[in-house]
Amino acid sequence: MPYPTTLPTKRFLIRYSGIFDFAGLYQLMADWMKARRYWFQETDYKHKVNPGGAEQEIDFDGERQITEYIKENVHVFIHIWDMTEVEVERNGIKKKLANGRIELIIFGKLELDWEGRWKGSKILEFFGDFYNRYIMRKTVEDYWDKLHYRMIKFQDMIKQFLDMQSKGNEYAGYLGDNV
Amino acid sequence: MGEKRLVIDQLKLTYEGLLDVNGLIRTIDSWLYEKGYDKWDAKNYEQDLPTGKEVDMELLPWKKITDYFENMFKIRLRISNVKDVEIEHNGVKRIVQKGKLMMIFDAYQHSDYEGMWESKPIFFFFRTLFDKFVFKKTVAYYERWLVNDLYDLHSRIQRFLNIYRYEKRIG
Repeated sequence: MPYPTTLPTKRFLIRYSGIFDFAGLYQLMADWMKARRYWFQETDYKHKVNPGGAEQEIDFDGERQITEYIKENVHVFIHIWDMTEVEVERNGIKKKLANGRIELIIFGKLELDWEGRWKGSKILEFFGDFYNRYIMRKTVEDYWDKLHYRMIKFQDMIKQFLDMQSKGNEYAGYLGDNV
Repeated sequence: MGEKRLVIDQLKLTYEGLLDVNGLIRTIDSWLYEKGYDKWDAKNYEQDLPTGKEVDMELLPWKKITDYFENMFKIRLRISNVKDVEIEHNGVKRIVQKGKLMMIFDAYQHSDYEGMWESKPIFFFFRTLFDKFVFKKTVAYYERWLVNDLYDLHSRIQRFLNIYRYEKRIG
């Protein structure tokens, strides 16, 4: 079995039901990606009006090159049901928020040989597999680990924003940076 | 990939009364960090109901012991009817929560997690043979480690909740 050239991280699932600031959440996630030099792209946007409230499906990706050989991707899938607009007054300021059920699936992906240098012939593929398996393995595993913990931070940031009970991350300093 | 062997099946912990939900989750988190487990909060559900908040979580932390063995936990956590209450502790007013907690722990021993011995049926056969007879002591040693770790976490949560507990020692 050849060494995989796409290495996804674990999938993180968040479901929240209640009042939340959807515009703020979207902005937060987009800003998080942009601040970390990810190329932000919204790939899918669906909006359906139902009697119980709107249904929305939004997918977006972030992509960045780490090296000339390794690329990092972040995927976010958002699904909202029964979304209605509510006006909330906080500290004397009126704000329009969303009320509904939201599901967020986030995961990252490492892509090796994204320029396709080891593609084209059987012999190149053989050497590519050898290179990934025995020479690059440690580096790739380090990057996978970093991406996994970055996704945990991303997940925690969403939980903080939604003010969920499970917010907080003891691994926050694990990456040794403050981003 | 590899073989997951269920070592502890559904160790339960239930509690009803005053608790700090966020503190509880942070306690589990910090225990995992201390012990060098990799974190994975696979599911995070929260909903506001008229009876109170309901929190559902599934944590799947893992720890690579060797290139061949991995310890894995499955921690399912459900807290229902969570409501804020004000209490007075040592003359200081504090807001804590009240709710019903149910936790289920499973522990797995994951061998050959990289799937190196699965590419051919003959390899699979040898893996089983080696696990059963050659590495028998090693398997038992890592199994004790796994059980001790889970009981340690269980005790830590009991301590946090300040409920009756007894020391669980294996081997």
